[in-house]
This record gives sequence, structure tokens and C-alpha cells, in this order.
Amino acid sequence: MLIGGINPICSQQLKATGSDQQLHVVEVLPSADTLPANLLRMYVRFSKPMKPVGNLEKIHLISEEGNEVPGAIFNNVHELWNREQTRLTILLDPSRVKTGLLSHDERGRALVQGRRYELVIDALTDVDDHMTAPFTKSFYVTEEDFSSPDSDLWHIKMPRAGSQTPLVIQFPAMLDQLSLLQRLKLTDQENRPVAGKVEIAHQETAWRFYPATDWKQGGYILYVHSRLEDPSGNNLNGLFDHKAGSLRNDSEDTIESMIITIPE
Amino acid sequence: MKITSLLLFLMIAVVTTSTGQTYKLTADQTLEGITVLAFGPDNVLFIGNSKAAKIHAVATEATALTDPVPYNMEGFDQVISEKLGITPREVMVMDMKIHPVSQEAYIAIRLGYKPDAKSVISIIHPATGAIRFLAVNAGNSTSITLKNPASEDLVFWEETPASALTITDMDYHDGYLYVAGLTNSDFASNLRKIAYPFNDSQEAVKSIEIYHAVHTQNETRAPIRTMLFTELNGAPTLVASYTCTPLVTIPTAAIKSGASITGKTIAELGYGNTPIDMLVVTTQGFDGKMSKSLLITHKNRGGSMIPLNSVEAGVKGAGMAGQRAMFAAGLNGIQQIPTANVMQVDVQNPQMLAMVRRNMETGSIDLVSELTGTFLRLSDFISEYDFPNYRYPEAQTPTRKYHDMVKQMEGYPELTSDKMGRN
Repeated sequence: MLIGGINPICSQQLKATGSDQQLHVVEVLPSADTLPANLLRMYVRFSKPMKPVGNLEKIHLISEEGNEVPGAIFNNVHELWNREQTRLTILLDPSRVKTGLLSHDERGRALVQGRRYELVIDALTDVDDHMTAPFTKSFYVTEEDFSSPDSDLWHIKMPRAGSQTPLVIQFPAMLDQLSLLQRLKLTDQENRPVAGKVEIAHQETAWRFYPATDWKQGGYILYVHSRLEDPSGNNLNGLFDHKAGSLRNDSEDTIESMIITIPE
Repeated sequence: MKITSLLLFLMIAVVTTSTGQTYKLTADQTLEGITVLAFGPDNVLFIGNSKAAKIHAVATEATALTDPVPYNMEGFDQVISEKLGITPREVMVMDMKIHPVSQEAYIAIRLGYKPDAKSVISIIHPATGAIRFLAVNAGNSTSITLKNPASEDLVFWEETPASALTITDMDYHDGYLYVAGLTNSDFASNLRKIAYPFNDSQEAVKSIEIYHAVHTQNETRAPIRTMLFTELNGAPTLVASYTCTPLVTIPTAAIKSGASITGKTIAELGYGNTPIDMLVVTTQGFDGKMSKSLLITHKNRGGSMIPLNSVEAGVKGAGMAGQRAMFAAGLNGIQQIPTANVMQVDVQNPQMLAMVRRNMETGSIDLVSELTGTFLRLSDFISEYDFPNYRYPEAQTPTRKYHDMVKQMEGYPELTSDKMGRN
């Protein structure tokens, strides 16, 4: 993954047992163990390139009674993989997440507030056919997230000019890791990308930028794309589950810019 | 289904036998990441290349075939793998379209599971079973790279392969190729309109809102999964099925750059499901009348067939906004049809549909044809008609004739009633 020619570091690298050669789940995102009832998207990152078909049937949502919640995972026709086939996007069935649809009304959400669940990933197959043990992520479900990410509520921790300490943006609630990696961009005043490393930390509530060279005093520009999403599909422009006419902008593609002035 | 003079035209496919020689693919026959195919004007084939975020347009050459010649290629994966020197499990069928002139099946295949696996387009002739491969990078092909219209100035996307667009469907209509996609990190709708011949003009529809049942104020920016253009009530219309099951219509005229579109939800097709293909098929009723229907196949359910006049009535109505839907609902006459193991389907000729199916018994991939309207292959089933002592009574003459025709079509000419002494 690259952003402006830089390598992001993923903070939550869970070390699985077994040798490095053995296929294992590296992480499941969101990394928090408390997730909203209207969660739309999760990611599973594997240690090796995977077979890009036939995996969704082997990923299960299990209730605290130990029963599979049927129809929770959206069985997409094309599985959504990154180019390297190491990260799978899982959608919780959007027709159950979204209010007003037949499926939502008849079956309700797969995740119920106040209950515990496990996402169980069966022993899957990588491109060389090696098997691994199942992986489980346990989490607790809280109330629906009906708030749009809002850049006015972000807290920015400024580094000092002449240092390479990170520029940190703290969000009041978790955002989607992939979205954070591609919907934020730091440039200098001439719109040239700033070289450095991005780290997503604190369970996807912080974006840290480590510059490759010392910060200079003065202005930088942080661009924020309106499609920056949280794991429930809410973006800067409005909620996934929004009311008619409530989107902030007719266009789904607006870009905010924030001037960041690095102090002396 | 009325028995037509189909039998007169019926030719039985002769599958060429393997020579044992492995076919060497040339560099111009492979691409990375083919997801979807669509035929356009002058039989140009559009190829959606998700990995490179490109659409290729390749001219095709074909000899016209007007006779209804069925496909009966069981173990298509075996045939292809033997030809290419790979194993059948490395044959991943991505899409299938029938050439509008030659009736040849164009089947996009990914060769293996590795991240750098190449894709090819195999072309199978129904009469001979001969297989050739499309030169996708031939000199006369053109291509266009899909821009992320959102970030043209900032080029977030190009710099961040963290995000990947999967092209889910493409359709050509009146000078434009419409491309629907799903990204792994955004859920909002993603529909592009690209002028063809390619001239670098790409429009992105700002957003497509679809109203849902129950509360008129509820909206979704869900991505389109499969779509087609057809004329409804005299107006060109995009019929789209979404990842969250509503069937929505949008007047083609409304799809403009920068437009915010509200589609009309005319039906829901049942939950726990994702649609695969959408076609308009023409069938003949027992009364001999021809009528058109919308046919939608699903990954997790049997197919849906909806009379086109019922779809038109739905478009004239208020849509599902405000209705309380209890079941798959919204339109009259939604029929479930048996297409549970169908991976890909297209109209092959006026009498037949061509299908890529997963054989539930052997696990193999079959390329077969079915009579449109019956939605089954007789040879899939063992029924009382197949018992040795069965005799068709006089009243079942139409059934006998139908069985005899279909047995020949499905490659079992030795099992017709006269050959079996059942008249």
C-alpha cells in the first residue's frame, strides 16, 4: 500500500502462532472489539496471497449462543480482494444494515446491540493449497452509528518545525482503515505530495504522518475527500442510511482542504 | 412451449477431440484481471479489466450462424485445461457472452489463483466445439483507463492501490458504454458513462439514489450489480439490480454527467441473495404468442422471470415507495425459475439460452444450451418417461415430440421415442 510514495504501517499486527511460512490471519478490521450494530464492512488480512474465490462461504458470524447468524455476510458474486490477494473485504448484507428494505424489516440486522459475536474464519486455502487453523475475532455490539465523520471535530497535534515527529490527526470515532489510507493526502503549498509514512493507530481513530525529512515551518495542505468513510458506510457527505435531501452536497465527490501551519 | 420447426434446423455439435498437444498462448491473447464482457456496435467486444482499471474494445470477426445449434459441452473446464496444459481447478470462469452474429460463446477465464494470474477469452463454436482464443491486444484494439473522477486533481486512487475497483457490469447503449463497479473501500454508487469510440471523455454519475419501500424518505447510494438497457413504455430505460436486491428503473435520458438521479424501485427480488445476470428473453406461450420477459439469475436463489409488460406497469406506477413489502414483491407475475447452478447465461439464438453451469454431481463446469422458456435440460432429470416400459399415450403426442426434439438437442439422439420403440 502506498500513499504519495510512502508505506503505511498497520498498527494492529496480530502475531499468530506458527511459523512465518504458515498461512495465518494477520488482522481483522475494524480492530476494535466494540462495534456498532449497523457495521457494514470488515477486512481480513492474510499472511500470504489467497485463492480469490470460495472464501465467503467459509466466514461465519456466530452469536453468543454459538449459533451461526444466517445471511449475515453478503455473498458477493466477485470477492473483493486487493491486488496482492492478501486482504478480503467483507460486507455485512447491506440490505439488512439499511433500514426500509424488505430484508431489514423481515430479518432485522445481523448484529444486535448489547450482544457478543464471533467472526469465525474457517481454515482457508492459499494459492498453494496450504491449510491453516480457524481464526476467531470476538466483539461486542453497541448502538448504531448514525453520525457522519466531520472534519471540524478532528483534533490535530502539530509537530515542531525541524523535527520528524509525526503530524497526528485524532478522530472522535473510528474510521475505515482503507478509506483513511486513500482519502487523506498531505501536500506542501505547491500541491506536491509530502514524502513520509502513514500509520493508522488507536483502533483506526488516529492518522499519523511521519515525514521523510524535517518539517518546515509554515503551511502544508491536508486534502480530505468526501468519500472518507467509517466502517458503517457513513461518509463526510452524509449517512449510509440517510433521509431524502439530507446529503450535504449533491456531488459525492468533493474535496475539503485544510491548511496546516507547522509552528516554529 | 409450442414446438416449432426447430428440429429441422437442429445440428448436433461435434466436439473436437483433444490432440494431446498443449496450446501455447501468445502475449496478445492474455490480459490481467478480466472481469466482465459486453458486445457493442459492429460486434466490438468490450473487456472490463478490473486489475488495470481499463476497458478494452476489440473488433471481432465472425461467420454468421443462423441455425439454432446447441452447446452440449460437459466438462468445459476439462477441455480448456487440457488445451492449455493446466488443471481443471485452475479454470475460473469470469463471464460469458454470446457473439450476436456467430453464436460463438466468448468465455473470459482466469488461469489459476495466483495474484499475477493471467486471463484469456476463449471462443467456442457451437457446431464444431472448436476452441480459439481472442487476440485481446491486437493492433486494432483500443482501450481507456478508468479515471477516478473524484480525485482527478489529487490522483488519490492511482497512488493507492489499497483500493481496487471491481467492474461488476458493462452495457453499451447509443454511443456510450455504461460501467458499473464496486470498490473494496467505498459503498457509494459507482456508474460511469464512457463515449465509444473512446475519446477520453468519461462522465461519472454523481450519485444514484434509490427510494425504498416503507419510508419514502429512505435512500441508498448502493452500487449496481447488474443492468441492461431496454425500451419500456416507449422510452429507453436502464433496468438495474442492486447489491441490496431492489430492482430499479432509470430513464436513460436522466443519466448525465453531474446528475443526481433518483431511480424508481419497482420490485424487490428476495433477500439473502446477489444477482448475477439480467437478460430480456422472448418466449412463446402455449397459445403460440411471443412475449418478452426480464430474466435475472441469482447466486443464492433460483432465477426470477418477470413479464416485460409487468415491468412496464411497474414503471408507470408509483414504485414501491410507500408500500409495505412482505415478500419478493412489487410487480405482478414474478416467477421463480430453476437456474440454481447457472454461473453465466446469455441469449444464444431466438430459441435457446447458452449457459455456463456448475454440474452439481461432478463439480465440473458445463457449457450447455437450453430452450428459452423451459429453463431446464431434460437430461438433468430421471422421470417416469425414462422407464423402459413407458409408452406415450396419444394425448401426450406433443410431450413426446418435445422430448424427442430436446433429446436430440441435448446430445442423446439414440434415446428418442422411435429409436426406443416407445411410440
